[in-house]
Amino acid sequence: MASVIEKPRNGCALHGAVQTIEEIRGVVPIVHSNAGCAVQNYLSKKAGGAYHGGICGYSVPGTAVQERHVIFGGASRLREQIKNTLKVVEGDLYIVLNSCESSMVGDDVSAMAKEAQEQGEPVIDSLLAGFHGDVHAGYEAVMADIMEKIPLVKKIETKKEERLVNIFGILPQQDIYFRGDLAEIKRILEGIGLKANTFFGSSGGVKECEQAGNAALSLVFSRWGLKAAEALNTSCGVPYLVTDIPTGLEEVSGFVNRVLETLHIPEEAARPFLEKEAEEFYYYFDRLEEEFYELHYNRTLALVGDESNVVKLAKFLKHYFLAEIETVIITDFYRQEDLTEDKKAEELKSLAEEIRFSKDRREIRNLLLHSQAELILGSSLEMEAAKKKGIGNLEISYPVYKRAILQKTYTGIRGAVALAEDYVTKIKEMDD
Amino acid sequence: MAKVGKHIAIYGKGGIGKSTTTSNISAALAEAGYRVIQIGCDPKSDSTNTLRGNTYLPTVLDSLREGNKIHLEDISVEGFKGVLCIESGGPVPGVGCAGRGINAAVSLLQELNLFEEFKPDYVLYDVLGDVVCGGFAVPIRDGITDRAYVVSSSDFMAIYAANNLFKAINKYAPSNGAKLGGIIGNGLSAGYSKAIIDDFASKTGTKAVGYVPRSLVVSQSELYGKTVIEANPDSEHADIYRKLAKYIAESEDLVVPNPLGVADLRDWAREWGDKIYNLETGVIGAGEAI
Ligand SMILES: Nc1ncnc2c1ncn2[C@@H]1O[C@H](COP(=O)(O)OP(=O)(O)O)[C@@H](O)[C@H]1O
Ligand SMILES: [Mg+2]
Repeated sequence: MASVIEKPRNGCALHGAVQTIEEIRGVVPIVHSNAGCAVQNYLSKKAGGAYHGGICGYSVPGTAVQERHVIFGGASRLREQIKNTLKVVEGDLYIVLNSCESSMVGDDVSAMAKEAQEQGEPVIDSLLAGFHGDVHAGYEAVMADIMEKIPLVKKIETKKEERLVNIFGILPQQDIYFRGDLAEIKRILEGIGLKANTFFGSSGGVKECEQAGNAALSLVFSRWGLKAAEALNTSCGVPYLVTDIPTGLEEVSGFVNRVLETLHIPEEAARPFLEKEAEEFYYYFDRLEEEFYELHYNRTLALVGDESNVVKLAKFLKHYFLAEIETVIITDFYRQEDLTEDKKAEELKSLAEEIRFSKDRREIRNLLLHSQAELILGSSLEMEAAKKKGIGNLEISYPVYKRAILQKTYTGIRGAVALAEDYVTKIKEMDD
Repeated sequence: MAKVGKHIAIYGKGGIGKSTTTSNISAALAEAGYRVIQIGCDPKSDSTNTLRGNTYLPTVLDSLREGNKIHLEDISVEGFKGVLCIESGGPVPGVGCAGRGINAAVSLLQELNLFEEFKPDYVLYDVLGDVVCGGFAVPIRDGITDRAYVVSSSDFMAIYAANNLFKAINKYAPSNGAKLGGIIGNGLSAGYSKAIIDDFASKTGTKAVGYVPRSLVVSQSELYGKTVIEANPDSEHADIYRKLAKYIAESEDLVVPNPLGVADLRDWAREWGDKIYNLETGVIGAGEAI
């Protein structure tokens, strides 16, 4: 049953792992693969629009495996690379990542990481190979591995922090607005008196990974964060809450209340914050009222992207702009059989008329061309369909070309305002 | 690359007698005046031992591991009557990928212009027989050899391995892969052994091209570090190998075999189980069983 996928938008699991840990300050990746794997990731990441820093691309330490390492085994090459990396690249945590070759050959990668651990070095491994899944699987596995293995290499003082919350399921680079998303969720949590471990972003880092086991709760914003949350639950008894990413006042209030309830903190604690947020939210949204009917904000939409983001946006646009969500195309699944277990599909049905799962650019384009959509929310790959239809394409998902994205977000209260701005701007541009 | 000489792959289950048989065929061909290369494609790298008196020979992959520039002289040695002996070698057991190793070794030999330089009449590839992964199918793929023989006893596991090879041939033959020359029966001792091999051959659309009985002469020659052709040239076994060599050298009777499916192979084996039992307990005669 071979079929061709045209321009699948997701890289491999190794890519996912690399781009995840590159965003954790203090982490140094060591990639046991041929020279191309880490560089490929660098190139594809450029399409994410989110500017990276730290160790990435050509500076990622790696074994640059050659044919003789495949034939004779590459473990000793890896040992050498770990040793050299420890010597010349400063870091708080070194993570050895596996590749397709080395897992086919069966290199004993764990033994090499363990050897370094026994010498007191902070080296752990994540054994996922590229072929085990796509970027999402890479995030999923490497975060779970960090949570599980960091106690092996770090002295962690176990003391519960009643107000500390971990954030899982927002994927660096794959979620093109991940920095802004995390910052906004952090802002909201801090607003109600909590502390957030975002792992990534300006406040993130290895320290936060170390503290994750002391948290009172893990928040899981997409299914890809579940494994890490479960790992922490098993090892440190940290409970977790699976939740949608909130955008808009209603969603944010609901989210805040659910978090407080789970933590057994009276809801009153959040009231002053939510009141202030409501004030801000309405202040901006009231400005749009005048044009609402005049410009017909309630357009027919097609959304293309990863599930958690699409759900977030669909909910918001339906609720606040009375948009009609005609088509939703979900891009973050790996195997076809994953879809049969998709619990989210039910929720999606209440949001959209038609729900499709596809990573195939051509299939997606054809779906869009045949839809009644008046505006597309998708990636840069949807630009072509949008142009053909003579409608706009608001970029919400990976990949995005020709954009610089730093702090922008469509999450929370501030993200809702930003989304409203961009949505209305697109409509005005189209009507021009 | 123009092919120089006839290239023949010999497969078969581990320990079944591939190297012994191949070396004796090489020796017999060399004795008849042909230029012969024997390439051991087995990480065990003992294929050509009896052709060169157990002397030390660095393997192709040993040299590849060193990473230095490789010359033909470093990895080959002339053995009995000028047979050019080469061992592909492989990783230490339990690490690395031997399949990729075979692949790399064969490519390297081509790069070194081995065949253009040596101008062989015959090249024999002695290949690890359980075709466990793509790497071990390299010699019968991509036109490297155009014919393969399989060494088998009448034991079920040997026939199972032969059947697996047939599957590989069946798969690759349409795309310029090797065809099957036939089955070489080896180590046969029981009276019904020939009949089992013949029956399997006819079921899969091929034939047995020779039968080598189990014999002390073979063991003794091996202990001397020699082929039977060299150590016991006047023995009956030496003639058996000569005949086999002549057949393989001359025959152009090649087929694409029809391997048995898993269930068919099992049923076929069970039938033979019943027949052998009846034979041994004297219920029926050998002629009737066949
Ligand atoms: N016809 C035979 N009679 C007696 N011993 C044999 C015969 N054929 C092979 N052997 C012995 O069986 C052992 C395995 O043979 P070998 O050729 O090394 O097998 P392979 O190359 O298939 O692994 C050797 O010790 C060899 O001498
Ligand atoms: Mg052998």
